[in-house]
Amino acid sequence: MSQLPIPEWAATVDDAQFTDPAKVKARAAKFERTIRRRNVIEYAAGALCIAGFAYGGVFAALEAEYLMAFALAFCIGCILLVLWQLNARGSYLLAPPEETCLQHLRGQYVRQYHALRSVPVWYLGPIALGLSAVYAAMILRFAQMGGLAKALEGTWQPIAGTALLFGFIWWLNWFAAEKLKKQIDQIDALR
Amino acid sequence: MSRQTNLYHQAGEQFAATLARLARAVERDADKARDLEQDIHAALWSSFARFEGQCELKTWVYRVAHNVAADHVNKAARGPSRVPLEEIGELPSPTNPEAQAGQSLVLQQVQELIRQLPFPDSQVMLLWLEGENTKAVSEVVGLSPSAVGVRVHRLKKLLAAHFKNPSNESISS
Repeated sequence: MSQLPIPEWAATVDDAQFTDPAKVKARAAKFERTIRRRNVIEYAAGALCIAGFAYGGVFAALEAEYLMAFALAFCIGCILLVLWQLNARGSYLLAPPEETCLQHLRGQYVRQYHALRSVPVWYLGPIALGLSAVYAAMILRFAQMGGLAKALEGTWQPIAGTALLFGFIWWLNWFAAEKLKKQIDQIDALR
Repeated sequence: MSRQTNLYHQAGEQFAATLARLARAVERDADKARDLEQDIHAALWSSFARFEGQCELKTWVYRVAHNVAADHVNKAARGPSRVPLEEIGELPSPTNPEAQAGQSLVLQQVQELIRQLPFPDSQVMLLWLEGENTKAVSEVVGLSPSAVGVRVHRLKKLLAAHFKNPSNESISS
């Protein structure tokens, strides 16, 4: 290290020491536990959804509502697909922190950008498919009881609400991805 | 003592104060800054398992530390909008109302400036303040030496009015 351009800078901290290696090891282990706990919470939320749909599916099958039972089983398959993708795309990436700062930043941004841009494919798409199957089974069931018009009258509002919610989630992710894209472009312009 | 632990001790002897200054410059809250400092220590300790002399120890330590600090800043929910170096005309006011007069006040303004700069400007500034030359800064940050030189020139200009001699011949190359 050469002469400091502003010697007063060094005086802001001059008594620091590295953390004891034993404590550092414990901290690294704690960090890994936090990541594992986050993954467990995600899977528990998915398991809760699956349990709810499975309960509904079994109940429907016992009532001989086979179409609805099939739709709920399909929905469970879609949730499993999302959970698998969540783990594959969203899990914490242990990027080598010793890359140059620009490489590291770009890597982090690019990974987040791809995850956000593809939300319609790996998250919204499967969930929408599963829910569509459930709504279709509901409409067919109601149509058998009181005609198609009556069935649509009773279900269009929740369908429209779901579509709006999905559209909003898609827009939110697209917007965040575009912001990241600008940051990636700025980094590329620097190199 | 393992090689990893040995490297960790070696880095601690040389860079403990530098990394403490880095943490305190990027994080205003004292407790969070201490936390960040320990995160940097933990990342360094883990990284030394992979260190096989690919670069100088100093370059390795700075890269790891600055990347952990960058992740810390990125994770922080919301902060003031960041302004690139070329758009800053004067040192910002310190947010600490108890800031003392004189040199201490200016140093707090310098820390505030670091918090307001986007990456990689803030990283260049911190490394320059630690007395690193253009080549060393370039190797850590990943910018070309000329891009580092331009930033350092702007920094010197910005700080000239506040410090008697904010220059370092080795970096002006």
